[in-house]
Amino acid sequence: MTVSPQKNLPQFLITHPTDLSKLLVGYSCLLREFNLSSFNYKEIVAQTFKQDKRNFGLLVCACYSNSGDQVAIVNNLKELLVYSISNMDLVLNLFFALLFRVLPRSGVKVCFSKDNKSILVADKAGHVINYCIEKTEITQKILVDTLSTITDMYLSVSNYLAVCDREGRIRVSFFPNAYHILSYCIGHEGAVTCLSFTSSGLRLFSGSNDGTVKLWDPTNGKELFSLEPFSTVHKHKVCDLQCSASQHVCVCYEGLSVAEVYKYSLTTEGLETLLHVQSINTNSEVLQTVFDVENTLYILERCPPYITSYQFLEGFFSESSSEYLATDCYLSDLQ
Amino acid sequence: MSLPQKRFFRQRAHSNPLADHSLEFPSCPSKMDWSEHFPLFFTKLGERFNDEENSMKTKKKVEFADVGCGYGGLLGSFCEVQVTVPRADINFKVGLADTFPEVLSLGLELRAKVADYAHKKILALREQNKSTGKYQNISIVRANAMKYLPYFFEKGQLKKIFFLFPDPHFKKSKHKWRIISPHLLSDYAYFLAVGGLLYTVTDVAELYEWEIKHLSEHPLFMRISNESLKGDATVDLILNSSEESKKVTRQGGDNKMGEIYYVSLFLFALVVF
Repeated sequence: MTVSPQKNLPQFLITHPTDLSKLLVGYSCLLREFNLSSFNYKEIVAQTFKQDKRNFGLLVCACYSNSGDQVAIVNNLKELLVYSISNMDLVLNLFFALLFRVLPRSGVKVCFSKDNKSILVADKAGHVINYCIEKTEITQKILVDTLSTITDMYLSVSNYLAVCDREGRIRVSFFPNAYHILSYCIGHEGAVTCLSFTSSGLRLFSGSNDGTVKLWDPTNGKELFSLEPFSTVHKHKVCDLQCSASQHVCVCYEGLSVAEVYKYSLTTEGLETLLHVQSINTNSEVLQTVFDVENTLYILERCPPYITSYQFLEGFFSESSSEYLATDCYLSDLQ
Repeated sequence: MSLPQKRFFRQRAHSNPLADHSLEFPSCPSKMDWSEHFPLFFTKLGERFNDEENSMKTKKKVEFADVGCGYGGLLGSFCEVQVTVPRADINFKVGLADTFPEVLSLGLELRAKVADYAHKKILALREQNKSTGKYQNISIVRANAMKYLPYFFEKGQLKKIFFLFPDPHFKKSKHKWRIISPHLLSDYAYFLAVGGLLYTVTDVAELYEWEIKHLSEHPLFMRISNESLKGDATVDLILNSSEESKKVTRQGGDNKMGEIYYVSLFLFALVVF
């Protein structure tokens, strides 16, 4: 995910794990949780606890807890902040910079564990740090050290932790026993930019700067299928992909204003493959694609209308009107 | 072909393992063309041997890995001592090539000149021993073991992995360059087969303590006591064959040999949970 240079434009989208009407939109300095059924939103201004007031904490990434009542935010000042959504109070504030003074790198991805007791943060130095919250005590532990900048991390429902880096390696290990590596999925020829497990946790999709999307069996690291690059003329890097519960995979490429939707299925010979379902054309460059639990697809673009949603009806994704999102999500009054 | 001379291949001892060196590596282990390294055992990728005997050979995989092999001492050396009367107690096995002739051993070295020397040495040794066909089972690849091991080896492929006299990296800020670290150990455990062995030897006491500490703390490794090390042919090799050990012997003298070296053997035992 690339961070938008404009301060008042949406940069990332997170869908709620259980509630269909809620959508979390991350801007540069704040987060808004939109309630699509009641047409209002709750705002979290990302505070910073650093002494230097000139530094505003620009948001890098965020995630919901599995129960949907907490949000963890990572900003570029190496802070991890956890908010409780119901009353918008700051639940926990953790400075993981204090522990990594020698590595002045900030976090890249954050996620909660299934039991909501651990928060995993992947940072640019190659570490995945586990913050374990037991009652009031917080213990931290480095789970993974890949020695290379981590580009994406995904914790599956089957408790597999997949980490990919800019060397092109995908390391799948158990969680919380991350010292036990399940497999290395090797085959990409450029940095791997995005990962997505299927809903069962038994298959892994990865997109890379070499333009391909590959399907892996995470238990043995075997490459099962490789999607051809978008075009043979130019190399288009895959910037985001996500797998839905209905086994659809949506892929977006850097610089292109189209999102490709594929279906994960079996060929007549029993081989696993991705079949092209549709191409969704947008007005501008697609930055991110996310599915919610009911397989509604949300696409984030660089230019207005920014966020468009597509509902899955009769085998196709058709655009659903989202005027509320189009108008209210654009902030013009932030400096 | 004459053996290369070390004085033309000197290089600085330290090399940053985290930097982006211009290294060549295959896109995945199955796409590695091993015929460049072991021509007698592998054909070019995709081709098959015609006869029965040789096609059995292509099922072999590299089983011993010498990480940071330096000038290739452990893999194989030329015999330096001229003996007129054969003596039963002198062991003339010269490195992994001779002690384990059926096993493919691969050395990994990051420094370009050193890897080049070792490569030329192996080619010269092969040329000189064409009649006996020795030294065909050892090779060296210039690779970064900290980052690119998954591109060369598959899960559980290795039976033995050697870390002989690794760079101690004394400064705290350089500890992350040490080849034995808790997270790299998870990697080595992945490439070692269950029951595989990890050997370390060093002459630096502080590094020895560090290695023992991290290996003992790692849940997937189990220590083998020093008593059971006596009589192991590999231990003999480690202490006598590699270039560093020969240097330490020259500088330290024979009577200090027992004190200087710390040999530890760790058995990789898979913990089932």
